[in-house]
Order: sequence, then structure tokens, then C-alpha cells
Amino acid sequence: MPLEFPGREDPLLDVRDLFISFGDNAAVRGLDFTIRRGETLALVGESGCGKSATALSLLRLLPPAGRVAGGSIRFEDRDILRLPENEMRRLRGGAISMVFQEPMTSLNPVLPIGRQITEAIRSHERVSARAARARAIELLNLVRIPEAHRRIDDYPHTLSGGMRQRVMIAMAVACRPRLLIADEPTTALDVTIQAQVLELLDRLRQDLSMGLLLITHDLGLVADWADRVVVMYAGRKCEEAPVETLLRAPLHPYTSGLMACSPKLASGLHFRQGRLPEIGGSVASAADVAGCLFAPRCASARDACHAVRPDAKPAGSRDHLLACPVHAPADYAIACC
Amino acid sequence: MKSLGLFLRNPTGLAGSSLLLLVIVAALLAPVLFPGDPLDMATTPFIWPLQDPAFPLGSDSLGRDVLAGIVHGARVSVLIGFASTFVGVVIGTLVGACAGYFGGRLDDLLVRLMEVFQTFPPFLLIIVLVSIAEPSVATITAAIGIVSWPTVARLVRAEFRSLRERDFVLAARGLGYGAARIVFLEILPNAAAPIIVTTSVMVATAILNESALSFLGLGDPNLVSWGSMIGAGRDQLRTAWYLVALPGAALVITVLSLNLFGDGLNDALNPRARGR
Repeated sequence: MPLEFPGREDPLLDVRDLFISFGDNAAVRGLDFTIRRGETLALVGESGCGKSATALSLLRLLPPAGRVAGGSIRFEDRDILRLPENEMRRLRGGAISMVFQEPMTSLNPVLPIGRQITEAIRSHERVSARAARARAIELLNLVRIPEAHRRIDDYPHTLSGGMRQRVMIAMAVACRPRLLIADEPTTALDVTIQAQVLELLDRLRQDLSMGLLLITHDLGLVADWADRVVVMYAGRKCEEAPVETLLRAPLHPYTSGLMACSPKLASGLHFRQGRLPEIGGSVASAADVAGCLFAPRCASARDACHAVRPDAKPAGSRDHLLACPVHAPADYAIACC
Repeated sequence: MKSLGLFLRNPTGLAGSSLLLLVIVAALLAPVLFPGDPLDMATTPFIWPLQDPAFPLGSDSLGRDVLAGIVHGARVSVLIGFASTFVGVVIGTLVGACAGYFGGRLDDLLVRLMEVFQTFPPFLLIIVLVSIAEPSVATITAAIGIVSWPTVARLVRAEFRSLRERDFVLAARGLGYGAARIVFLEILPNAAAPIIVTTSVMVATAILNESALSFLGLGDPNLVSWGSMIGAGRDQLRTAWYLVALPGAALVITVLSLNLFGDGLNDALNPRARGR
């Protein structure tokens, strides 16, 4: 399928000023990002920064305790937050699909994988059982399950973690989604399998011209597979840039900190040569901060940082957004607030 | 299929299912083996067992064939046992699944309802329900079913409460499945093992309840049942104890077979008991 929409101006998904709260605790506080057709956007941040909550909110699958407290989510021409539940159900697994973190437990243990895939197909499309089964075998071939026609009647417990994640991916792309959300798709897998799964996701993205939202805490993956990166901290965007720009010249102290912590990116680093750097403190310190949420952990924080919360603004180029007046280049709009 | 193999290799399960099969075959073949009404007078009263080859288990105070009574009694026991359990399991599964999956106020409401039912001594409630209606197979089945559903409902609710938090349920919602589909096609198969095991014990309890009702003379008066045979033989307990002992033994064997069957099922279906 050719890329019909190169459109930069016509985003597939447009999230604006998203707020998500769990009870009185804010998980996401004013997040903006867009995904274009056929591109991979990586959402990066440490645990608890609101990545998964954001992903679930895109499908309106937040747990009962969580709710979207503000902002808008537009998918193509639809307002996700205002869609009636039956239309939302049609969207889930249809136009928008999700691959979850835990392949070991995300498949139903008492149903053969083939049946789970055919059900996913038949819940969205009117096809005969026979045709759905043929499609399921095709999908298993697509995700490179060896001997798909034989394995289709296997139960999940007979498959390895990597195979199960492939089956999950097969189910997710069964109805040719236009947006695929992958929430830490390889965190539970071996490093050797990680690359295979991401390669698969990337190939499917190209073949089906899907937008791919890759949620991860692993900057190594981002470097290899993403087009653009949004770095999140405590439910806010601190930096957004095309992946080459971000890796070459990160501006936000949190981004630089994350990259310094990543052994793969900090080349030549070995535990014998020195201690792996860390970012002191924890996300929890952002709970009751008036100014910049990262200020309590930031080495270069000034008095103003504790008073005013910076918004992400263009820094250097139009597609490089930064929420830090301290580390900004000269042309950054200093009078931001 | 693997479970079936495990079940058949289990001596407990095999013994239970063989005995149960015997009872069911007797119930099915009763009209062929003993045509005619078992309540009709067939011979002289008080023939002891093993004295007359035509009546191997003897006759009662009215000259009715005891063996014919026991074989026909199996029909009533099996019919009411399975039918009332079916009623109880269907109601209990529906109520328990709704309460466990949806939670919240609906759960509160349904749990209170279960508790109301469980505050009554079950047998007393059966007697009350049967006395309100005419005693017949249908009303007795309904009464026992109505009394037994909270057991299933509590079990199913507990299973659903834990299963609904599992990742595959979230994944199913992520595929756009509706609540009914998730409850019946995704979660229920995962809760099937404990429900099936409980069912076998419920059948045994239902059979005992039916016998107790018949013993008290509250059963269907037109049908012979093990309970009514024991009740009728009670007066001759000192002179002809076999009139109580033989239907009693049939009852014991049936209930025992169901319990063994349930144990065998539990071993075969419960992955933690699989010890391998």
C-alpha cells in the first residue's frame, strides 16, 4: 500500500493540552503532540511520567480511577473524547490498535491463538469463519510465526514470549489500523527478541502506512526506530525533536540526563571505566511544584525555574520544541510566560 | 483434551464417573427394564431380598417391587438433580458474572441479594417454596435451583473480580470487544473449571434435598423417589429394615459417585493440583 498522505499539515492524531488525573493526582498535565500518517513517534520518559496513561486515554481505556480532566484528542476528523461508546468500540482494534507491554498475560490463556485472531477480525468485519481463519494464517505468516498453519490451533502457553508478542501484534494489525500504539512492546522480552519485534513493527508500519506511537523508556530503541521523539517528564513534554536532532544536540537537562544514563548511547562507557551517571531524585518530587516540574532534580535550576512553569516552544528550528529557558539557544523566546 | 486424559487416568474420577454412569443408565432404561408403574402392587408384601428370583430386592408393605422402585427412583433423582443444578448454575453464573465484572453499585445490590438468600436455612426455604406451589418435578426443580444459585454466584463473582483485572481483558477491550463478549467469551472460559467442579457437588446436594423433601412427603406424589421409599419404609424399620437400607444405599452410592467425580474433575482441571 503506497503512502498516500505525506501530509504534514494533516495529522493522524492530534493531542492538545491533555490532562489526566487519578483521583487528586495529576498523571498528565497539559501534553501536546501529533502523529502523522506513516511516521513513528516515540514517547519517552521514566516510569510514572504518564506515558501509559496517555496511551490508554487515546483508546479511552483508562482504569476507572483515572479520567481525562482536560484537553482534546482528535483522531482524523473524530473527537475521541466525545465519541459515543459504540463508535469508540468500533475504533478500538479497527482504526486504532494497541500492543501491550506484557505478552505473557495479554493473550487469553484458555483460547487457541487462531481463535483469538479470528475473533478480532470478525468483531470488526463481516467475514465467514473460513475466510477469517485464512486471514489469521496470513497474519501469522506476516508476523513471521513459523509454520503458521500448524501453530494456529496452539494455546498461548505453548508459545515463547517473543512469539506471543508477535501474535498480539498480528491481532492488533488484523483490521489494518491507521494508528498503532505500542506501549513498551519489548520491555518484557529478551534483548535479542527486542530488535526482531521492533523490526516487525517498523515493517508493518511501512506496509500498512500506519502511524506508530512507540512508548518506551529505552533511548536505544528510539535512536534505531523513531522518526520523532517526545520526551516526557511528570506528565509534561520537556522536549520534542526529530530523532537525529535530539540525539545529536539534546537541549533539555532531563533529555541530556536520560542520554547520559543510557549505556548504549554514551559510547565507550563501561562499568570498569566509571560509574554510570544517574539523575538524582525521583519523579515523585514533581508532585507539588509550582514552577518547572524538573527543577527539584535539575542541576542548573535557577530561582525563576521554581516560580514559572515553562511551556514547550520552538528552539533553533520549527520542529525542535523545548520547555527550558535556561538551556535554550539564543533565539529562544525568553519571555515565555 | 489433556484434561480429559488426566481425568481418565485418575482412579477417583474414574470410579466416580463409572458409578455415575451406572445410575444414569438405570434412570434412562427404567421404563424398559421395569415397564409399568412401580407404585402398583406386584406381589405379596414383605418378601425379603434374595428370596424370590422374580423380585431380587423383595417387596414392601404394599407388595411393590423394591428394585423397580429404586430404578425408577433414579429417574426422579437424576432428573431433579441435574435440572435444578442447571437452573442454579445459570442464574448464579449470570448474577455472579454481572456483579464481579461490573462491580460498583450493581455489585453491592447483587451481593445483598445473595446474602438475603443465604440468611435462610436452605432446606427450610425449599419447603416453603414447594408448599406454596403444588409439589411436582417442575416446582421442586425450581425451588432447589432458586436456593442453590447464591453458591455459584459467589464463586463466579470472586473469579470474575480477579479475572477482570488481567491483562488479556484490557487487551480484549483494546480490540473493541463489548462487555457481553468479554464476559461470556473471554472471561467465562477462564472461570469454567471451578464452576464445573462446584456443579458436580451441587447435583449431589440437589439429589439429597429432593430425597429429604420426598421423605417428608412433600415430593411429587405420583412418582416414586428414593426419599419417599425411605419415608414409607420408616414404619417397618424394626421388622423390614431393608426397605429403608436399600433406597438409602442407592442414595449414598449416587451422592458418593458425584463427589468422587467432582474430586477427579478438580484434580484434572486445577492446574495447581496437577503437580507436574
